[in-house]
Amino acid sequence: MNWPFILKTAYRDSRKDRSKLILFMSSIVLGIAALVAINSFNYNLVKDIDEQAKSLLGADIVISGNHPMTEQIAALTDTIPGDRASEVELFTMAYLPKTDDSQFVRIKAIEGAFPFYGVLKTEPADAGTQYQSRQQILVDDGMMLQYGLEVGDSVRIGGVPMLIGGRLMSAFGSIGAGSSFAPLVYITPDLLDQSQLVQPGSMVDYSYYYKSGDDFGADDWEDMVREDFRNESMRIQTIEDQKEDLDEAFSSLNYFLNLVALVSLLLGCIGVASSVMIYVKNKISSIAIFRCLGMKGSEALMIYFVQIILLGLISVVIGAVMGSTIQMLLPVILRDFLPYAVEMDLSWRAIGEGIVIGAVITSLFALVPLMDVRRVSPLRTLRASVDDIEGGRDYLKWLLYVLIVIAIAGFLWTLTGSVIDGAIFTVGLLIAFGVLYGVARVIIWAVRRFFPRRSSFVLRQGLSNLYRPNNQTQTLVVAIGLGTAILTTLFIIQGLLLQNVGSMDAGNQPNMILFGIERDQSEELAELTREYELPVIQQVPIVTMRLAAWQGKTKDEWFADTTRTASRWAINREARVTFRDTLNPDETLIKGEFTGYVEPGDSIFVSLAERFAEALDVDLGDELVWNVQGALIKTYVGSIREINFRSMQTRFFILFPNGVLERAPQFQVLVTKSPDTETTAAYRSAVVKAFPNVSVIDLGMILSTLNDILSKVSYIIQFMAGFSILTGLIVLISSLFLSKYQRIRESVLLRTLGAHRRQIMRINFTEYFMLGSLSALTGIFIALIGSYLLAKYQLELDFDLRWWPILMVYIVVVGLTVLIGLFNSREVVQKSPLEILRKEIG
Amino acid sequence: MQHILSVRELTKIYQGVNRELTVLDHVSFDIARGEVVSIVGPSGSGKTTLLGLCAGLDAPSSGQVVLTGRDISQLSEDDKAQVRNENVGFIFQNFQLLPTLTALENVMIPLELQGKAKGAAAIAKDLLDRVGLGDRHDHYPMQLSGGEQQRVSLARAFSNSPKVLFADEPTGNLDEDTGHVVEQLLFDLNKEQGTTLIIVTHNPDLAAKTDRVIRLKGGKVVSDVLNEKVAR
Repeated sequence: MNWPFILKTAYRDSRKDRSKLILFMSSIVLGIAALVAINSFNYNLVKDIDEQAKSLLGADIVISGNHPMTEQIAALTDTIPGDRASEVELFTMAYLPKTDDSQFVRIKAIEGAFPFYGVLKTEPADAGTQYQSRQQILVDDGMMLQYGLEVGDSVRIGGVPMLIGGRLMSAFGSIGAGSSFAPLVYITPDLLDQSQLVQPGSMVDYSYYYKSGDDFGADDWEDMVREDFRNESMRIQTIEDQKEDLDEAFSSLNYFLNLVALVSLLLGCIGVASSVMIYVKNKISSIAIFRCLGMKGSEALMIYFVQIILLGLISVVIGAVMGSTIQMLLPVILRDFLPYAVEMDLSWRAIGEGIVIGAVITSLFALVPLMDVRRVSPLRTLRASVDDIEGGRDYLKWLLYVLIVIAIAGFLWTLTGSVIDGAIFTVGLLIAFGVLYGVARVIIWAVRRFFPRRSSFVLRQGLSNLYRPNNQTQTLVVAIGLGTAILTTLFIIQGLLLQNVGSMDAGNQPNMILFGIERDQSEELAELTREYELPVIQQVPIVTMRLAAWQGKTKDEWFADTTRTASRWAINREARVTFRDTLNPDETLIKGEFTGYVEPGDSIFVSLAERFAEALDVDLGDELVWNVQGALIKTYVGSIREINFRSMQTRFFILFPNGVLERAPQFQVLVTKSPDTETTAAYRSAVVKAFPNVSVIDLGMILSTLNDILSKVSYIIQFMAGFSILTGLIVLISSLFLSKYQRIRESVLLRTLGAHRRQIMRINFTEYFMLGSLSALTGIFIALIGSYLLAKYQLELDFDLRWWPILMVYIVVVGLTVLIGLFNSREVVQKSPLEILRKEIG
Repeated sequence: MQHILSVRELTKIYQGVNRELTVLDHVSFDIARGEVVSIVGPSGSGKTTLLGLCAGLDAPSSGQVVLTGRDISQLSEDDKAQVRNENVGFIFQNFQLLPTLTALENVMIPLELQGKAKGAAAIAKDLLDRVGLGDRHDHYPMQLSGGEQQRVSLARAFSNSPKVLFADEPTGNLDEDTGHVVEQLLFDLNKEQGTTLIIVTHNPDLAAKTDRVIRLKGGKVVSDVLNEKVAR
């Protein structure tokens, strides 16, 4: 091959046309920028895990469970050397005398000098180390700002006034997304005792912290005792576990971010292929002349490949630089979901990967249209009517398609770390593209088949552009359709989640639950509820118990049995049980007979929820023995119920008949419905003042928390989808440019024949409107199917659509397509036909 | 006499939707080295198809084309390209200059394709001077008139000293005066270089200036006569 000539001609030939490759370059720049930004961020995040794991856990070993350690378990911890600390954590109401407000909070009472590693960030700074000795509390900064609280103000928890010693600036060891629901308050063990919030049946978590040091071998110890702890439903966590947990949590985040990068990259690839196609189309007459003068097909290909690959490499580098800059934004956007501040450094690995992937992908996708250069007929110099490209199968092109699929599969393999997952994703992507492509083909067929032959000239011209030779219908439907599908799915799912939770408030559905009510408070509380003109919808007693034995074997015997089929969670669960003589409306009996009352001395038949019965692998008639705070009660499975989980009611896996548990230690739950937020706030404050141990959760609070989390999530997804959309827009512009070259002669001819400016604009409007509409509708169609499947089978939501966000997506996509299309063709209507022909066709 | 081009039983059939269309029907003739031949005939008689086949731009349905001693109907596309580059020059009705290259670069292309980059610029400049465009070397095709573009095309056609020059209606897009200038340049350069010249034309005046006229009609050779016997 005559390389000096090829390089020289590549340079000369590109001189006047480089601007036409701007779209090609933009596609690569955006795709690679997304990839590099996301990968850099990921690498920086993971790099910090090792450094952060210790200070996030705060100790070498943490043991936790929803009950205090038994003596047996405590004995197992005797061998752990070093400092110790313990923590009691529970949810309750805090009353704020300063503003007469109440707030549901998560309190932690720590005994000992925890955290051993890292610090509690507080204001003033010494509050974190001093609050215990001063018998003060630390309150979440967000909550203090919300209620205008200051250090020195007091808060009543469990009826006990407590002095705020400092602001808690970061929730230690957890992420902030849920903190607005139950802000964190650190109190002291003494204050917790005074509050008397820990009662039998209270939902309390206990943690024990150990500073064993590096020499102890925490992981070996964990391996040795893990089973014993699991059998007592206690969890052990070491720094190594914490790293794994973080790794796992981040790999999901990575996964999501990488998928976004992949979509941007793929859209970029479509952009590359479609802008190179424009370039090649534009060069066909030159190629024919070269071929006529004796240039080989492979030499002609090389001239354009050199141009494309050089500009491609420049774009890849620009993209990498841009991506490295954008990555600095990601920690700001993801702030609420990160447990620590990520230090952002330049990631050479991400940049290197971006450049390699960019070069490979750009070459492959650019080669698809470039392969046609080899097949430009020299005969075209004699006859303009000769086909641009010689017919016949191009096996090299098929080989290229195979290489592209392999490259994508390889990329997905590195992304998922699994060959099978990579293959599944590749097949999924091929199917998605196949569906979009198929829909586009159907559209083209349908427009042709049902063409409105009697309609106006303008409409016929616009519509026929959809199926004429060299139409861009398929490219556009795939590119724009994909972007639209992602965004629409996001909006639909977000809407469904909020709607499903919101609908709980409809009609007479309860919207407020009060729990932790002691038996002697229940009458008074019901009275107070009625004073606020609120209905007492349910007043349910709750007895806590544990499973001691079933089907003739004790819990320990079952744990020793390797053939056990019952799930550990069902066995170890601290069961919260109620008793009543009827089923609730949201319960359906699916097996057996419900017994509402049992005479003393008779066999006791309990009703189990279907999920619980399955988890325990028991059926009708099976024996279950319960340990009710020391007393053993033998029961039999009498019935199995299905519970509808779509209302804000109490629901129980285990239901006893009346006549058994009335005298057992118990607390109560009250369910009511408040007509508005003012009543809710007033009632809540009154309850907390009169009954400090009672907690109130209202649906409004859950909704606003959910909304908060969802809007944070969707903000991130939107930011990321922004990359895809921007690349999609580039694809849109390049596709429309392509159609511009296709249509310009026609428009000029129409102008020459005397077509009015308005007619040309209308023809173009019709074409772009149809293209935009069809692309958007295809995307929306896919989103509807996708989100229906997600809602039905993954999220178990009612699929009750709100159409306006979908309508908005449609309007925006169509509007953009039409605007860009008309902007493209403005030249045709503004300048003289000859001027355009000279400039565009030359 | 040694033939530079031999055409034997050349047939070109296009496959239509419902029927076959025979554009050339068993055409045969020989052209001697240095001969100046015109191919004439009404529109649709197969002139341009014949030119395309003789120059190896298209493949025949049957028959044989031997150009400079090689049967090009048997060659691959790339081999045909090489034959063209080494032996053939072209002049087109619509000039066919590369729009992104200057006049000088356009003329240099055939030489550079042969790997003769050294000296290519000097040869190209000489030729451009010869066709009267000495001051337009760095102009792009868009900046030249039709006549000037065809003169650049002439210079390019002779730059690789071709053995055969194919001209497809070389003055078809030019006014009469400019046409005459281009014609004169074509014949002068041809004489200087001793090239075999094959012109496809409608123009009887141009055909009258050639040594021999092959007349086509309905895809067949209806007459093949030396110039003084051409029926006007």
